[in-house]
Amino acid sequence: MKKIIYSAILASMILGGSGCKKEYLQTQPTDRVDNTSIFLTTANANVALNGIYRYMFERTQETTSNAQGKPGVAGILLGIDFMGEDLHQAAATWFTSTGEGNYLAARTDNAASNLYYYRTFFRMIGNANYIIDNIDAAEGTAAEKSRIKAEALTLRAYAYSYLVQFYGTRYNAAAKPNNQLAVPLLLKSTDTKMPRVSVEAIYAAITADLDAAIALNATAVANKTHAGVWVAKGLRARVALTMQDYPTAIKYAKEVIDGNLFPLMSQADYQTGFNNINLSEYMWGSNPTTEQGDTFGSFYAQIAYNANSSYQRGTPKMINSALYDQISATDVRKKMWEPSPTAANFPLPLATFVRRAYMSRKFSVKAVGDPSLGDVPWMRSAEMHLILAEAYARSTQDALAQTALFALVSKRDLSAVKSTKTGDALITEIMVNRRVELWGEGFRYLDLKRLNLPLDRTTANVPNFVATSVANVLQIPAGDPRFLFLIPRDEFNGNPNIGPQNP
Amino acid sequence: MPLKRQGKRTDANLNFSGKTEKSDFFVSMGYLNDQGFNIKSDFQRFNARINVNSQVKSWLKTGLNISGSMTTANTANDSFTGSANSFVNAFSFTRGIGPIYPVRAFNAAGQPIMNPLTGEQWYDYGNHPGAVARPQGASPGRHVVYETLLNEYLTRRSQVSARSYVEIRFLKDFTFVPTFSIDLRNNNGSTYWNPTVGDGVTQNGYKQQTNNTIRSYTFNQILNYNKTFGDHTVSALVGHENYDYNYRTFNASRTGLILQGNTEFANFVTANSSGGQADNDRIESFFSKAGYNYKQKYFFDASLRRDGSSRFSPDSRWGTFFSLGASWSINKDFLTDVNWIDDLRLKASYGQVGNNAILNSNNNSEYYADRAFYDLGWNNGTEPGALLTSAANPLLRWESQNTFNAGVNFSLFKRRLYGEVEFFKKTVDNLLFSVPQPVSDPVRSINQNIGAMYNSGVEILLGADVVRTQDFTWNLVTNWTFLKNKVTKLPAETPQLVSGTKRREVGYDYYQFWLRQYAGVDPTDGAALYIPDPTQTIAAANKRIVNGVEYTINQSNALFDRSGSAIPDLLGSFTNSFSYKNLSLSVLVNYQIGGKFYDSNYQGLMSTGSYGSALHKDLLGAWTQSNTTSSIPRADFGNSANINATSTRWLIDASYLAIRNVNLSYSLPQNWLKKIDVSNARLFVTGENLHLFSKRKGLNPSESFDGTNTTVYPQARILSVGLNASF
Repeated sequence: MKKIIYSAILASMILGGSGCKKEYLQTQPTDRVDNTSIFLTTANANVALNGIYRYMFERTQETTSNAQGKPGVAGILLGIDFMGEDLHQAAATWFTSTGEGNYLAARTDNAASNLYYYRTFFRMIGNANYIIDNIDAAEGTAAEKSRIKAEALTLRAYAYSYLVQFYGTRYNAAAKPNNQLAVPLLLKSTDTKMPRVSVEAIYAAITADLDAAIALNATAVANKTHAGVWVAKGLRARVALTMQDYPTAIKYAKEVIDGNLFPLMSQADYQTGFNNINLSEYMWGSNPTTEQGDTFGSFYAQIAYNANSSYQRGTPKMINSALYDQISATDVRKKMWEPSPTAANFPLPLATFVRRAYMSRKFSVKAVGDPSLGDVPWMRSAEMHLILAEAYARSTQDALAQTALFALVSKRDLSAVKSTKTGDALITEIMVNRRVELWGEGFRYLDLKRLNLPLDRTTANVPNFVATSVANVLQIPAGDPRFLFLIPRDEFNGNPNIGPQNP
Repeated sequence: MPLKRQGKRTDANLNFSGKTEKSDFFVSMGYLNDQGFNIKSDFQRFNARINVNSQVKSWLKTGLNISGSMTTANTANDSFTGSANSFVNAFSFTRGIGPIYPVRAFNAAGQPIMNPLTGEQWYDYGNHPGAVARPQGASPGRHVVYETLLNEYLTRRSQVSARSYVEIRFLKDFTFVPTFSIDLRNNNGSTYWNPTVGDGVTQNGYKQQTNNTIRSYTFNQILNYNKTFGDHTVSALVGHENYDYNYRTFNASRTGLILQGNTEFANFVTANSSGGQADNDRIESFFSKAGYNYKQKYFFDASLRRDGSSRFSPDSRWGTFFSLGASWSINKDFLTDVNWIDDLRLKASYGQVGNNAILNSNNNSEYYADRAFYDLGWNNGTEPGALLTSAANPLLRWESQNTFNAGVNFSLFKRRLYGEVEFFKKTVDNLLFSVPQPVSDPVRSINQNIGAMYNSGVEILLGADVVRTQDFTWNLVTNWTFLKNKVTKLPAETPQLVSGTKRREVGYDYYQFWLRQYAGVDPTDGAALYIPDPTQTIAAANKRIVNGVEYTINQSNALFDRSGSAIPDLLGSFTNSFSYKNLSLSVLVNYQIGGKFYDSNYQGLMSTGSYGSALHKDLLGAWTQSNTTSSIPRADFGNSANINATSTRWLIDASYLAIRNVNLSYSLPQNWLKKIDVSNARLFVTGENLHLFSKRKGLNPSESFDGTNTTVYPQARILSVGLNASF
């Protein structure tokens, strides 16, 4: 009898006591945050916004293929520079054999690089859409809400501005509306499985976002990693130039220059390695901490002359020698490349670093031995001067163009004289300055496409080009289908509404 | 090859057991030291176990089972350690580098380059000063032998498990058994990259450590009832269980080695990064089971359980599963006078099992797929940041795996012939699947219960003593499995799901390849031809007409189509065992017939995208101007992406035959053993993985069930010699 009582007591204790509480099965992760709590307050929403800025310079997670050579948006900017003729390297390695320099990635629907380009910008857009949709209901000041919204709109416009140029044929202001297909247009966080829309529709969305962002006038941002109103205006000028809308390009480039918040760098600053967001002409850039550095997977690991990675040690980046020869001897930019490097005139951290003629020292890591640290320039005010000069020149305002160009050149070359060229010659001079000034920052390929120019890497145009580095892809005629990226295969696999593939 | 060695394996075990009137115990200890055939791949383990059971009272029994182990593993990097394409993966590196490059450094004149300090020749890592530089395809700056020697990848694991129970009998036919089990596991993973060659050079040495602790417990309470009334035997069980799994991890890294020879954190200059997280996974279950048999001839059983998982949302986390079974011993019924039948039974059962295993993109368990999350850690400089990472699916629920079995077991002629024939149909309902979303969507995939599929087939086991005499027997056991798989339901909005080399769709099997259709070689220039996708506008430059048929040479214009299944027609094995007096020999062979295999390792060796990489010797037969009828397209450095694109070209018949195990043993004669007070002793020689025959040299179709391969540590051929003795 005793044992029955004992067992009954034990049984009831255990069975009764162990019927678990409801919370027992409700577990929470510790490495992530619920999407419902992230938009409760503007402070939290700001966390979501900063995630996008980090994503822009972080080594990609969208593909595992050669991820080290894919530092977010920065890797795309570098990749498309390898699709031009001014930046190149001596061997078929990253950025050339991975499909950029030889134009294979763009034309291969399952290329890792292609997927990475497409996904990187759409992931930024998806994140921005959540912020734009939810910020109004967050708790916080009206000023904070409008600042966060303005930044998210600017980021969304920025992302679409690249997608439309990769996946659609060029915008032609003389053939409006530009009905050729571009990419899907997702403007709400709930948008899913959207069809491709026209180039015109994407540009309409970009300009609408930027105009809205400019109207919100986010002048007070935490630091230059944030895309405040000046970045929105700079981007508006950049997009207008691409749309051959020269009056708008002039208006906004001029506003930024006249605002004078980002004065051009001194000659001394120009030679500090383009790695510091505090340099005066950085309008917008990344600013990783040491912990956020990535020895092999950062932008600087790919291009800083003294980054100690196998890739960089063995493959210094070179400039088109013909372009180099057009730089005046007294121009500080002449010092960014070395036509005949030696141990004396081009010291390098280790004996295993290779030297090549016309190699670059434009980009440097912050300190040798750090995890390839540097602040990627997303936008510099030098570009605004170049936009202004080009837009004036292309709308036949040569005198204003000469002045706008001189504003930049006079800072770079202290003994420069103002150009007296006009017409095409002036445009050519502006473009030479643009190619030299923005080398390595992701402009040349887009300029070729925007202006409907051919790619020419033959010896006549680029005497030091190493043809084998790009599998002998040396010439592509203007308007060739190779200037158009194929939509990634994975998009077709997941999106029944996407529409036709590019030819 | 300097990476390979003859690994040695030492395995020693000692067991004791004993019994007193009211208690029994079992103690075991073991030591294993297993060296892989690659340098720096070792496994060392000490383990111990103790079981004690005690009948405290006539109605009360209790027991405790404790085991612990300590392992140290020097891990070779392969695709299982997450480094499929890494330079430190010996299998990937050695397969990829052109075999013309030397291990040690030579200058252009062929003279060895010596290290003046050690007097040894330097390793050639591809850009050693003075040595001949290697091109990109031959991984300059890297050297898998040198790096493997200098680096360290260690896993130290400690584990303790304890299980205790109390068994209380009451009211004659009832027992109540609460059981409590705990598992504690600690893994310390340590990575060290040397400052001389490879990834550690840049920061003058790098050390990373990950420490994770798993604490889990299971507590269940089971009430049993067993009763026999005459010819009827009844049993029943009800129970409750909770399972709690807690995982906690942190990691840190430092850079800048101070002194050679010490790889602990204290010997590094600069803190690099640190991180950590914790996860909880819980299940609560209520279960019951009942069984009945009549005269040990007719058996019936049934069970019902409800499981709640923390991986699903509160509204859909509970799943209900049941099983039913019956069997009939025919020979005990009306065949009792047929004396050549030893045993003949029919059985049939249907059972459901819940599955809540959801994997994230890194193939780790996903515990929170019901909710949408932002990942922490996307800090922008000093500002905190988070990035949208997953979409919510509050409807996500248990996958149910339902198995129906029906079969017959028999044993005839005093067990000269015996076997089992079983038909099975395993249906998966509410299949858990990570459904790919458009690349343009905010998240790339959403976990969903997408539909249903089944595996059905027949398994046959047949055994026979072919020869049975007093001194000699020959026993043969064979196994055949015929398997069929079909997807039966997918959601209307995603009727086709493409994942890797497969596409899932209703009416076809889950392992159906979906690939671009390769069509051969254009004899005029050796281009690879593909069947064109009729829905695409194909540029003239990408079109080809060969013998009046239109093809494309651009893989992006090629047609995707169903290309056959990875599932074999037949999986089988046979074991021959011979014994003669004290000597016995057994040989296990397994094989598969049919099925297709996508050989990406071969594709890699046939691809010509980068100078300096290794190439397959089949390329010697590739198309050239003088060999225009070749079935292998031209070796073209500039266009390898199109010529060697992922397509049906790389599919191969997955049939194989493997000699898995041969064992020869000799039992020492009893009259010797008695003298040394040993009750049993056996000497043996065993060979494992002795040979594999497949359609291509080096191809192991048994590497994966889905018919794909990667750079894994290949199966080792193991020869062992041993002695088993009991006292």
